Amino acid sequence: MLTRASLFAIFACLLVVYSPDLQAQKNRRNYPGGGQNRKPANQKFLETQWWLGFKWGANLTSAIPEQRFSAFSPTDGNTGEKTYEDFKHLGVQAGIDATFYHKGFSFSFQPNYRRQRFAYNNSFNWTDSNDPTSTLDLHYDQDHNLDYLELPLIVKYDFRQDAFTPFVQFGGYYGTLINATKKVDITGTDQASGASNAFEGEQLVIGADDLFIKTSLGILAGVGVNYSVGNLRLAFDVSYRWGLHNVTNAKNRFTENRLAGIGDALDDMNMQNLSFTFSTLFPLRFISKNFNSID
Amino acid sequence: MRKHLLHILIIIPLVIFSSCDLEDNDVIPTNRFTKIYDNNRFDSSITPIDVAQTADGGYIIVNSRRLENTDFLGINVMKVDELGNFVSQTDLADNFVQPIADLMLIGGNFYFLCMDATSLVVHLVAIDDSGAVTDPAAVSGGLFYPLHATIDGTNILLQSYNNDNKETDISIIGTDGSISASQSFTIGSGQGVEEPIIEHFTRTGKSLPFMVGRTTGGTYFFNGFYNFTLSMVFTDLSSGDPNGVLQGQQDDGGLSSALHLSGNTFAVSRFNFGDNYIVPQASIDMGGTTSSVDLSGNQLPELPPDTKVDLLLTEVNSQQVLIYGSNTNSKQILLLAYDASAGDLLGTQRLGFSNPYEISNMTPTADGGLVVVGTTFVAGRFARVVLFKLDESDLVALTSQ
Repeated sequence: MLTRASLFAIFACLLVVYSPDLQAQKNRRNYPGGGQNRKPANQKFLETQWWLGFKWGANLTSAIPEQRFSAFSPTDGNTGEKTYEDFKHLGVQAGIDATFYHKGFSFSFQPNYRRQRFAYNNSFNWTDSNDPTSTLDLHYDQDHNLDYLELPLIVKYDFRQDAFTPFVQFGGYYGTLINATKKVDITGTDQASGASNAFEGEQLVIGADDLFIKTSLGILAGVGVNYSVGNLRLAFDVSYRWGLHNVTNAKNRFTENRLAGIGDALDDMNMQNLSFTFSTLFPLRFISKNFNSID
Repeated sequence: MRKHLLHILIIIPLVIFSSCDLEDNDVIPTNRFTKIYDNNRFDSSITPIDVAQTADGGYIIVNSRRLENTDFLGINVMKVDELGNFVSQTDLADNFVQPIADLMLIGGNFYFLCMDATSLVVHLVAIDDSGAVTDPAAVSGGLFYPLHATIDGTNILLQSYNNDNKETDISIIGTDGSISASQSFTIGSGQGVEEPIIEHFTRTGKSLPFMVGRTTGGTYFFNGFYNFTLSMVFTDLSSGDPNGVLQGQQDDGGLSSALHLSGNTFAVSRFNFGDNYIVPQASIDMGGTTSSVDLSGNQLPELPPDTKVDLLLTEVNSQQVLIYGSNTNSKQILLLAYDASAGDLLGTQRLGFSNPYEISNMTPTADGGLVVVGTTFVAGRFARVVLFKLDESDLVALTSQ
């Protein structure tokens, strides 16, 4: 379990990552005649920039069960074990990107709204011991939407200073759950009521805020590319995100679960997520009177 | 940059302090759970009778099970672990039927009573902590049709029905099956009088709230048929004439649960022609003849007619609390907590969603929590045992609303 100490360590590391930049800025002000000043004025100007813009994109989630739970305890068959559907259900994210760039490194704060989806399914079968043809099969497809307000801190490194610039990035994020819902689609076949009767289209949708904890902490790493168009910078990145803790509310696993009657209880699980994000960024420092920020 | 640094320094403590739910999420899984004991048999139907906690933290659940060729119910004994996970079960031979509450812990073993389907003689069954069941042993003295039993020191206080004599028998029996005291009370003469009792056994009529107990002052009481009416009868077992009677309305009214508090004060629930009332502080004259309709109480329209009510006294947060457990019209289990000394409602909680749920019994647990056993209908049709485990914080929340 993640302790406060380890949380502090993670974000202290992020702070340390910021520190050289802060120190460099400070040094530059204290020592204006340093080596940096020997470069041409435009190039020196381009070593530092603030960017502000918008991000939006899509994501895919995999829920990794650590310890499995069920409201059913089978006495004979019918385990109903969940089969997770990894990276199959599309979520979305949108937010703001505030980035400070200096000498190839960017330090970015990207508050965003993020919907992550994960799903699993399970099946149950009952058979009449006196008549094996008399059966009931039920299949549950269980889809979860988790909406987070997320505050990521990301460090990027640009490999070159061209209009087309690949980069790598890593960082950490803190999110707080603002809404969660759970949808269950029930399908099955009843062969015990006189004929084979397939039923589908039965759906339950419940609020699931109480089934998950508020906090979401994790780290991320990814690659991307910047493309400069005039003063604008367009970016596309792909990031893999590792959740650092169990997101299920263990206290409410059973008691607040309106679906315990169908045997459902959330496993202890970590979330892993693959995000695809587009960004449009605007520079906040301009090099010339006609508002050109780049050559 | 100072402003930037300031933002970071604000975010870090925000993250740390708002992450408290990470630490709170480290829950001991034995404290709270809901478990439904399902099997894949279409024709299986199991209904719990009572539950008790074992020394290893697990639970013994005594269940009735449907038999194919009789209206009587067979017996299933289930052992589950401290997480509520199924461990083992035993189906007793089909000739042993009608298991009754209470499941009693005496001398390290658990005991319950049932009867032989052919002779109708009461039998005693012992279960050890592992769930191993001994062969049922006949109780001596010609006792038939067990109705309810409860612990009485190291003995068992049994209410049973003798259909030959049309009498309710109250007996004190030992764990060896011997009878140390017994008294019989007439239900009244005439063939129709015993009909509700037989229908109770064969599940063709109402399930009636038979119960037996003893006050702290030593007076025995039972809820059963006396003089044509479902009544609470008070006796010292010295005579077939009761010391006092709280009369019901034949089988349409009477007490549905009762627990002695002190002196003449009882906590009870009562039913009357379909209505249900909770009376957490009822003064009952144990030496005279009174009527249950005079007890008034809090009417609970959300309870269905003639529903089961279970009642226990426990301590929550250093406070003596009465917990009533019953069923609602919306097919949930309802817990109501009352201050045992003042009779004030402290809070309510509902258990179970989506499927129908019905309470069978409940008992406090060693960790200060509560376990509630009942029936749910999986997929809307298969009767299965459900076990709710609440922890102490749940009970504190229940009594702090």
